Amino acid sequence: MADIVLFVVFPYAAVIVAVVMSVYRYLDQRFTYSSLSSQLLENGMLSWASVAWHYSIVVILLAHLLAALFPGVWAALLGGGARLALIEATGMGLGLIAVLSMALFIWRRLANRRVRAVTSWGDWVLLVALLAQVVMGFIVAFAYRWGGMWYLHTAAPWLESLVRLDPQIAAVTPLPWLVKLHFLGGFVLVALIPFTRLVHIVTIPIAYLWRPYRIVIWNRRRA
Amino acid sequence: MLIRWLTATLLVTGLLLLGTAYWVQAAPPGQSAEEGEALFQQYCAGCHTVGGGDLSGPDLLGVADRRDRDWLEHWLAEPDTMIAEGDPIALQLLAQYNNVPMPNQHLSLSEIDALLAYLGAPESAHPAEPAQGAALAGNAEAGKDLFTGAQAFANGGTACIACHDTAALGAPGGGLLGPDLTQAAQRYGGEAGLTGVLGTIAFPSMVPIYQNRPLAPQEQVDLAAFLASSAGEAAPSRGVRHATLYLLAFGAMDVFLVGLFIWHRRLPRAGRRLSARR
Repeated sequence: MADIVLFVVFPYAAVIVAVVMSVYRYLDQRFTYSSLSSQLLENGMLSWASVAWHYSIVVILLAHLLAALFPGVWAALLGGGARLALIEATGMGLGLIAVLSMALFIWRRLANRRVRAVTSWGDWVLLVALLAQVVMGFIVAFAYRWGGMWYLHTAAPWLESLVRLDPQIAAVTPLPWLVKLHFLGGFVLVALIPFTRLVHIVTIPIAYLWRPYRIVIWNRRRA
Repeated sequence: MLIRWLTATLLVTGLLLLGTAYWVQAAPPGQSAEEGEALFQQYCAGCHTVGGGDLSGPDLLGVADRRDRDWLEHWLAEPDTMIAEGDPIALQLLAQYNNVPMPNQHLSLSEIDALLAYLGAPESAHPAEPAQGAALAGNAEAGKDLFTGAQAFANGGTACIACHDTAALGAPGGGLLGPDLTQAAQRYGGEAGLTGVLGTIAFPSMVPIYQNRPLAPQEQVDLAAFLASSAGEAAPSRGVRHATLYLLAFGAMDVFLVGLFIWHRRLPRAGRRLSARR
């Protein structure tokens, strides 16, 4: 029963909340539909944390997504000793980069008074949730290796069954609690999207890739 | 008007829910020996035969006469609890069969009734069916490729390496979600026993994966041969396995960190050029 609530009811609730409230926020407070950047307040630490975080987390999320969408290709890719270890180690390395950069994000908001002044409770919740999720992700990957492979027949069919509206949880219930917590953490983050600056992930700024560059020029020396 | 609509909707949904619950509860009880035979093939045949001799578990021919029904019902329902509570027969069986405990298959009461009907029926004393794998020869090399996923299973099951380790693999080895299989051949009655176990995979966490993706007979014997090749060796050291992976993971992190530093050192220089031009 608890498993039904955690792995069927909660994911659906999280997705519905995310969709409905994101639409509502778009209609009601469209101006807040952004990452609410604090780059102008502090850019030194941010550029280290932000670049490292975004490149690593995008690759990691893509791996989670592509493995669920094309399990056959993924299984063929990981099949056979050396390639498996290489790809898994790459993922774990990126995971560690994500952990480090998220820690730096948090340190920056604690240490810099100007940034701390504009930090809301929602920001703290989000930062801690993201740090917890990437730390758990790394531990799961390391302690229960080879997640890249067992994901294909545990989480992937579960997610697919949720999408098909025919929830099947038999494949995820026997997993260790830390793995389950990581699954749930994913849906907690989905539910946080409309309430935090995480909403900027649906503003996917891919136009950056081809728009002309801009140069910021200051008229006076910065303090 | 609105209130009447709401009440009606609630009533209908409530009735629907109740109806579904009743329909699910009232599934016909399966007690026939035929259903029992199907259940036996699904859950038990990996380790047991009826009249075909011992595998990793005892031959169950005449078991309904050997033990009383209450004990059998209890044993089928929760063998793990009975062993934990120190039931004398359970402990004796455990010791007799190489300390391989019977897994709890979470059978329902009606499934247990059906199984007992099958085991108690005289016609269930089938002559020993030759084990499927007996005619096939296992190839340890092919088994290794199946284990590591270099060769995919015909029916699409997960490669064993995802969750299992064995000394027959080099570092960093196999997965850790499931038990180490270095001594699987000893535990499950040699290659023949292993082939049986792999033929009807009954371990609860594996059932959802392999139920609809059974291993082909040739795959079973190849894997059994591969697993038997490490018999007698010690299980690989967890420490060495972890250390190897630790080096790989942190090595990858270092590569990315170096990349990040290179990327960052370029940025300020470009910035300096721009400001100098100004």
